Amino acid sequence: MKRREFLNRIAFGTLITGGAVVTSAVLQIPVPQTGAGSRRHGIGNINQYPLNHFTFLPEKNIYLYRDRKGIKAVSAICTHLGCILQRSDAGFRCPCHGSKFNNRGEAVSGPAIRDLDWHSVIREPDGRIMIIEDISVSPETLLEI
Amino acid sequence: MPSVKLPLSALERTRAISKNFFLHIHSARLDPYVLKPNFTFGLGVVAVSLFIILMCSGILLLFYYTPSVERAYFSILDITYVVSGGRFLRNLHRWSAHGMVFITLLHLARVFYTGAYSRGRGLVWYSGLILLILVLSFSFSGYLLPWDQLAYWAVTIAANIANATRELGLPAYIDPGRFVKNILLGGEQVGQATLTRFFMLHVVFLPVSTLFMLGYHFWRMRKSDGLCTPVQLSSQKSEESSENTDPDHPDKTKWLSWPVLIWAETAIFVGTLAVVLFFALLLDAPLRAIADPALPDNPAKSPWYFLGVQELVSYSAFSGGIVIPLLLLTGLFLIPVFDHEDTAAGIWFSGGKGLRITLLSVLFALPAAAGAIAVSSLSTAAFRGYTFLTILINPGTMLTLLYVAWAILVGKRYRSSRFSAIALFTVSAVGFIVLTVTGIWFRGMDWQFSWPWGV
Repeated sequence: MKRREFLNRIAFGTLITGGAVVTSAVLQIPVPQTGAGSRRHGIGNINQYPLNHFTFLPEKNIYLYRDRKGIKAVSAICTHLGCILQRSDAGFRCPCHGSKFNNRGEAVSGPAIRDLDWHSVIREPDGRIMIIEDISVSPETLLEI
Repeated sequence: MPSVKLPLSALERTRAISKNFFLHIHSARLDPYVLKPNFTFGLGVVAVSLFIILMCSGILLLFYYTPSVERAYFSILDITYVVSGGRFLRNLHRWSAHGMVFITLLHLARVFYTGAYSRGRGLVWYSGLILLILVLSFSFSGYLLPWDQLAYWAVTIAANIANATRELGLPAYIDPGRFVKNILLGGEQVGQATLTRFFMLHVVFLPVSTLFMLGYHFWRMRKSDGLCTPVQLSSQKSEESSENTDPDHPDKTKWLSWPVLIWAETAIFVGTLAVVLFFALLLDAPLRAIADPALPDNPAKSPWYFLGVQELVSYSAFSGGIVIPLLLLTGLFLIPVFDHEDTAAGIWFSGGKGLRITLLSVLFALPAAAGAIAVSSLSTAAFRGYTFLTILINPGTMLTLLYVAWAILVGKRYRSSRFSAIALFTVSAVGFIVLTVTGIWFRGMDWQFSWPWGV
């Protein structure tokens, strides 16, 4: 191998490697750091929520259900494409593409194929009641009051 | 007052084109066939005219628009009600944007039906398709900016369409849709980060990319000898010279571009401007209530050009929102790869037989698409417990299969890749139109089927 050819290869290799490193570093810039936000919500005094009724919590996009035995919380976000569900007689319906869910949060008809998430509801040691979005539970799980 | 001297001799007329920065994207001579109005309908020039109008009106809107979640909606209100001429300017921008999508699609159809992707024009076709993607991205990024209900929910839905790959049950770290969603939104939900990103895309990235791609599109077209004109007509052309032929040039079939081409383009620009000005004076651009992350409109409809996709995702998010649009786009990109029959290129529908196939395809595609929409009203109760099967079996995928089968059938029957391509393009276009019309007029509350006259 001649000296010039050798140097050419070195130069070319350096260019490709350097270019690849810089490109991959630049492509990282638009990738956001996500998931850091709080997914725990306090719900305040439970007596403000009517019995045997799903109450919508607007800032949190959650439906809170309360009956004589206790409370539970279900996501109000459609599992199809993320619209906010509205109450219907038999459960929930989506205004965007017509998915329907029953009161257990199961996808009944329309394009949604996954059931709604039920969030864990816990009582903190100081007595406050919190919804933990990161922990999913079964539709039967109640926080007994 | 300096006298304006018009170029008169052939040499001066050649130089008028080639020595001028703005005009040198044209060739100095052209085939007079390209000036026939019913050959191109001037659609490409209309699209460029709209782009120029959009750039000018967009720059003026930027004087007042504020890309912040708190201020965006109210800055649009300011533009509409306070800034002098602001309402008119916003109308102009909005209607030109709608026109741009509409005309670009028509331009695509014109280029396809005249077979203008052949004879070494593959790169013109590809750059044109990239321009189509850029135009759609322009519209998509543009309608988040007012931060009204339409903006918020259209972008939420679109981001979740990208994220529909989660229906496949992939783990989060290799899920490409989730990655695309996060890049688009700059977070988990539509928020300030999303608005900042879309603003940057809309006013910096997309205009620069579009200008670059337009330049490439034109340059590549010139290198391919201009528009694709029919071969046999060129050879039949008489040798007689007119005032537009160059007496010193051996090729008497070509005309000097100055002034005929410049006239034609100026006329199209002025006509386009007149139409959008008329619309801007007559119709106000819609603005919904301010974005409410807790309450989507019912029904929440995207702009007309995305309603076809919205109809498809109402069958299945993954197959309707990702697979079918990607198939369509791939199909468009592959046309010059598979079809090399260029003898009839430059002729609408490649002649009478192609026109018959086009009409037959319309007759096939219309009832098929109507059937798919009828089927979509059926209950999905049969899938209870196996709802993931609706990804594979739904009106959208069935319609796609029917259409592909039709194109294969036509290709086999006529032993022609061109006729197969005509069949596939036509049925896809008809399907797109039927789904779009359904989305606009036949979907009501909760996206249920409803008659537009309200029965």
